[in-house]
Amino acid sequence: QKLRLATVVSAPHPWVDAAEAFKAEVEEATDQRITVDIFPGGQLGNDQTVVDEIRIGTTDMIIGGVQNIAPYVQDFEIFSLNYLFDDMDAFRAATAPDSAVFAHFAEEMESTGTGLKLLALTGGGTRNLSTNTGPVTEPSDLDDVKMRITGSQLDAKMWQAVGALTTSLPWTEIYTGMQTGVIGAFESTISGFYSSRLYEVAPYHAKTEHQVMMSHFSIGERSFSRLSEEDQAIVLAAARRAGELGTEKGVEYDAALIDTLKEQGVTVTEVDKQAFIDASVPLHDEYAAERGVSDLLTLIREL
Amino acid sequence: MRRLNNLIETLFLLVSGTLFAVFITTILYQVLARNYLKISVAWSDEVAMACFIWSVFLGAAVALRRRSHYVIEMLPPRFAITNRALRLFGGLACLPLIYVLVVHGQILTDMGWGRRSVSLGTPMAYVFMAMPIAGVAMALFSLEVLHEDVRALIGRPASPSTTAEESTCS
Amino acid sequence: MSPIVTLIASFLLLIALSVPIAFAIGLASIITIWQLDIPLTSVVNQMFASINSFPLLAVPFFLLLGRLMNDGGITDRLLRFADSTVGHIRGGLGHINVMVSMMFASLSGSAAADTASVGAVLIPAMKKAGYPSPFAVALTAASSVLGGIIPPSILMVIYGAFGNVSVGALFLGGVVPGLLIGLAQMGYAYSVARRLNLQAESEFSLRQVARTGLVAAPPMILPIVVLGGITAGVFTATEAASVAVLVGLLLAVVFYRAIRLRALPGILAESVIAYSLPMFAVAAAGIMGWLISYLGIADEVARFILSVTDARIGIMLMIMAFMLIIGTVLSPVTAVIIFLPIIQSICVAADINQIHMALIVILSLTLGLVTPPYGICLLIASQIGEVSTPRAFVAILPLIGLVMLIILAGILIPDLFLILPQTIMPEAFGGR
Ligand code: NA
Ligand code: NA
Repeated sequence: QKLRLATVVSAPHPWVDAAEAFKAEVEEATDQRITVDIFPGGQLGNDQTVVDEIRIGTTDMIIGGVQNIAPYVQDFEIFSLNYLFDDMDAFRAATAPDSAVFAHFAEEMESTGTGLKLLALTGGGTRNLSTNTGPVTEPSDLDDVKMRITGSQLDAKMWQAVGALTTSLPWTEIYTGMQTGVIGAFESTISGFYSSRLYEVAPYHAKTEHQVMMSHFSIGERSFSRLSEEDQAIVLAAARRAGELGTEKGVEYDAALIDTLKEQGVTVTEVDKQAFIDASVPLHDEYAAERGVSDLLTLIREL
Repeated sequence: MRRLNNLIETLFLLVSGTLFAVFITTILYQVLARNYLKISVAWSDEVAMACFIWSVFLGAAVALRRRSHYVIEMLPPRFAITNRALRLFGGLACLPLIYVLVVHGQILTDMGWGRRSVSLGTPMAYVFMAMPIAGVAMALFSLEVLHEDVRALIGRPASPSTTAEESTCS
Repeated sequence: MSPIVTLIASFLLLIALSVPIAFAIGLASIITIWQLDIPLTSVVNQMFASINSFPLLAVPFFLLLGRLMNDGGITDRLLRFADSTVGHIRGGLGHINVMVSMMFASLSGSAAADTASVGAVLIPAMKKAGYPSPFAVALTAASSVLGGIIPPSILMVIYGAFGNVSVGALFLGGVVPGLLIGLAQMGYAYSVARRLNLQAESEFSLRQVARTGLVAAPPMILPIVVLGGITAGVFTATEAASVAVLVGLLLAVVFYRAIRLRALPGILAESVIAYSLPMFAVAAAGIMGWLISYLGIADEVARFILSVTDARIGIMLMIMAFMLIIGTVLSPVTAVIIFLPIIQSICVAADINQIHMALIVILSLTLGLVTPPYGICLLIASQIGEVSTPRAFVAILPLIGLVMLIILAGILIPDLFLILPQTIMPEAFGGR
């Protein structure tokens, strides 16, 4: 049996490492009864296209950011809240396969009828803020700065709360947008900032560390049920180990990349994190109340 | 048949023209809002893209009736009968994709109720729906076009179909 | 029969049998999917995915702008001015066509938008001036590929983003080939005008220049708005296109009063038909692009190329040939995204400079924009010029030949393309 695994990023990236570890483990444990074909670099399309292909039945698995599965399973949107986790340990606790948070999302994924099964939650690196308008150390440095965000209303609110003037642009337009001044700031993973060479147009990188990229590793329910019970157990175990690896690789890459960026002449600043947190936390409760996910928020806070 | 198709064509032109106007206005508003009103707009991309996609499929359906889709003609016009046969074949070969647009477009639309747009949270089914709807119109237009092609091939041309065009786009 | 053979053979056969291109791509994909025994719903999913792209919105805008400029009498005024300034030079309109595209190229980044807007104005004008229609179409299409070569270029941004290559260095690398291609095309336009013995229509008169210039001055704010707006950071290229439409509308309806408000709905509706044709073809091509990735054809190609030769020039020639072929059925953006991992692994294996290779790949792929069966610039230009695609293709062959010569020169003399980025951005070349 062949499993097609799609991811939108290319190596080097924690998601690719996770995919490769998964492939190696499954192929060995099943004696090549199951083979895994990895399609990196968005070869099979962007995340939402791939999710629909999995539902259609042509593709089997995906590793990607949860914001791209939120259109199907709305609760995932909560991870777009800045400063949701106190630190990396809280993040690790949430993604652990035996955590209540993981159980909540595995259940949500099943009950919303997306046709996908959540195998593991993993990390994809830290998200920081980059600008060309000057170094950022506190929220007031962002006042009236035109900032690129994704189309999500929540993202817009989060950054408006710290004073930015948000506008939505496709990822691929950031480079020229920064060059011409359509935007003066954007937030991204450190690896995205580096691999798309955005540091050429954004010489200031603020370690806001507002999010750890929550990522999901999922399989089509149909593909999963085609496997024997024994193979299902192997796939599940391998995916969980791959998920843990992804989180650790994310931390490792980020540390190395920050050094590389400094060598490239990027001004890396530490920020007054508490000021950013204070601006963001009220939105957590507001959001949870609005969407009726206060229980989930409590669950995450109790980690 | 022709009367029904005339009606559909007029309707599609009306709707798609309006959609075009809407997405031009939306993008202009986006520029205005960001630079002069200093307000953030998150929904404009989504609205513009939805209008654009709908207009493309509706327009493509009308283009089928007008025989405007790109064709590579290999034979010079003097091979009249072969060309008429090829034309008929070309019309028939469009049918499988039209079938997929209708039937599988409907399946994708059903799936789309569970996929929400990023900014507005509207089900994507409303966008996917453009495909089966345009597909049904394409099927109706195809019947008319094929009917003309068959008559042309067996030497009994139907009355010129240009009347349909004149009546709608004067 | 292997699925890839089915896909390509049925596609070529259907095209040869005069099946409309978009539907031929669709049917070939349906047959292949049916052979693979996977669900056909992927067809519609991929059609949606490939046109669900924000930059594509610029195409309708520029098509409408061209229409407004024509119906609104703006074109006539611009051309009278152009005629009075360069009309006395043999091949003047041809030069304008290339020059405008070079300037446009440094504005937008999208070749298809250039074809639509410049073509809508200059193809009818060139026909009126006595150029054969196929040549007018060919020159317009060929010069508009400069949009992807002279910076900024959407394709280069995407290549840089996906391929981890400096976008700045790519931009700089596009300058020399862009200028060379532009000059070569102007030379060719001159030689055609001479061969056809097209006489210069007017004599040069400064008073005439001033008079036509005054009448044509208001539309001149169009490029100023677009260029100024983009460089000042007021808007993106897609947004600039929408602002240009607004300005064009004001000029045609309010200023020149050449278009009545009542006529606008009809113009909008007809423009939808005009852009739905190329966009429906883009949608269909998306299915095929996805199938090519899905079948893993890319990896086979990489293995094949490395098994034939490991000499740098040989590999680059093969990649150039491969990209020329791939470009005929895939849009450059799709092709870049699909084949980048393979191209880059070949670069590492054969120690080829990534930026050098990127420029060769981008130049070769952009030629696909003007070659059948799926050359969107050629299709749009043929549509505007009312010329059949095969006739336009025959007319464009010499122009394609010129570009290929320039690509070959770039392969043999790397410094030709690389001297600029290497001098200005040496850091982009270090360590990779
Ligand atoms: Na350009
Ligand atoms: Na041109």
